[in-house]
Amino acid sequence: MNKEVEEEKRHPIEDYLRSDMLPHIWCPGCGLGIVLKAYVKALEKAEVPMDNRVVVSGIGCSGRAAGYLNQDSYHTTHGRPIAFATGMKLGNPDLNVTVISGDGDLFAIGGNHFIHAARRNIDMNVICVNNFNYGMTGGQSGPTTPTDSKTVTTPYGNFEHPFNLPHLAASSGAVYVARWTTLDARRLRDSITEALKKRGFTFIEVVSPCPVGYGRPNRIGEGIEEMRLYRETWDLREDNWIIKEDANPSDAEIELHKKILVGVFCDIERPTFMDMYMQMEPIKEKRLKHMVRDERKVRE
Amino acid sequence: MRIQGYETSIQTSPQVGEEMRFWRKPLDFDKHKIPKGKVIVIAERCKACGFCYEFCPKDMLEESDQRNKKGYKLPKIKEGMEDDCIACRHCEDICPEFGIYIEEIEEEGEDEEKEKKEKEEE
Repeated sequence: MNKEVEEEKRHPIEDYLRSDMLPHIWCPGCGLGIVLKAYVKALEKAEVPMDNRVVVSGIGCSGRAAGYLNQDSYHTTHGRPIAFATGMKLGNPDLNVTVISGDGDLFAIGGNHFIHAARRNIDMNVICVNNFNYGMTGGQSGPTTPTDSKTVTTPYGNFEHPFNLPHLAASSGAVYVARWTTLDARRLRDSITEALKKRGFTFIEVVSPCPVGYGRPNRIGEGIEEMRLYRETWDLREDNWIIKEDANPSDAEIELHKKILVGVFCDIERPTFMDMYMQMEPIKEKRLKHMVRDERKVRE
Repeated sequence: MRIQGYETSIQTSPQVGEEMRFWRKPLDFDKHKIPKGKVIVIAERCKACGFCYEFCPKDMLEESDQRNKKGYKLPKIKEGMEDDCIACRHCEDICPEFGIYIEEIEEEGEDEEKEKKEKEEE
C-alpha cells in the first residue's frame, strides 16, 4: 500500500535531479535547495537543450549542487570553478556554462579568477550563494562576513570590512548583476532565466540563510528567522524594481540585522571574449583560409 | 513617487474581505477562474524547516504532530481550509528539500463552458 503511494508522489523537477541521492545533506533551513530548484526551473524556462547544460561547482556546501543535478556537472578543486568553466567554454563555445558556488569559494580563494573572468567577459553565468561564512568547515568568518557579526573565529565580532559583491562584479565588468534573497524564489528564477539568455559574464548573488554557521552565533536562530528578516526588506524593494537599471551597486553594502538591498543592478551589452578574439586580423585570415579549404573539399 | 491608482488598488486587495473585491469589475471577469490546487508532501524528504507554513500566502498550512522516519514534524493543511489552495506554487518554489508540490485541479466541464462562451461571442 505504502509503496504505491510513494510511486505516485513525483516532484515536477524530479527528472533533473538524482533522486537516489535525496534527501540531501544540507541542514534544515538552508537555502541551497531553493537556489538549485530556481536554476532547474530557469533552464526549463529558457529552453536550454539538455546537451548544452553544464554546471560547475567548487568546494563547500554549495559544491554538492553539482552532485544532485542529473546533467553534465563538475565538482572542481577549491576556488577554481571559474577557471575550469573558462576552459570548458573556450573548448566548446556552444555550451551554456553555469557556476554555482559559495562566497568563500568564489571570493576568498577564487577571487582573482572571478574578477578576471568578469574583465574578459567570458560568456558564463555565475550564481553565488552567499551565507556570510564558511559553513561546511564549521562557521569561520570569510570575505563576506558583515562587520560586528560573530562567527567561530571572531567571537567578539568581526572587525573586518566585507566585500560588496554586486559592486565588485559590476566594476570588474560583468554585463548582468543582480542580488536576491532565497525568499524571492520566483524573482530569482526569472533573473536566472534572463542571465541564461544573455551573452557575457552574468553574476547573481543569492543571500541564503545558514542557521548553523551564521544564524546561531548571531542570535538569528533557525533558517526561518533569517527568512523573516528577508521579508522585512520588501519596502525597499518596491522602489528598486521601478528604477531597475539605476540602482547603484555601491549602495548594496550588507550590514548585520539591517535591510538588504536587492534587485537588478546592472544590465548592459559588451563584446565577449570570443567576439573580441574572432575580430583579430590574423584569426579572420585564418578562418577565411579554412573556409576556402572546406569549400574545395566539398567540391572534390 | 507612487501613482495614485496604484495605491487605491492595493487598499482594495483581496486580503481585506473574505471575497474578492475590485474597485471596478474587470471586463473579462467571467472568463477567469481562481485556480485550485492540491498540496502534496513527500514525507521522507521533509526536514521541518517551516518555510511552507510560514510563507503560504493563504496561510492554510500548519505544523502537525505527525512525524516522518527521521522524526521531523510534517506540515498539514489547516482544518476547514482543504479547498483554499490557489495553486500559486510558492511553497513548491520555497521548499529547499524538493519535498512539497502542487497539483492543479482542473474542474470538470470547465473547457466546455469556455468553448460555449467563445462561440457565443463569435
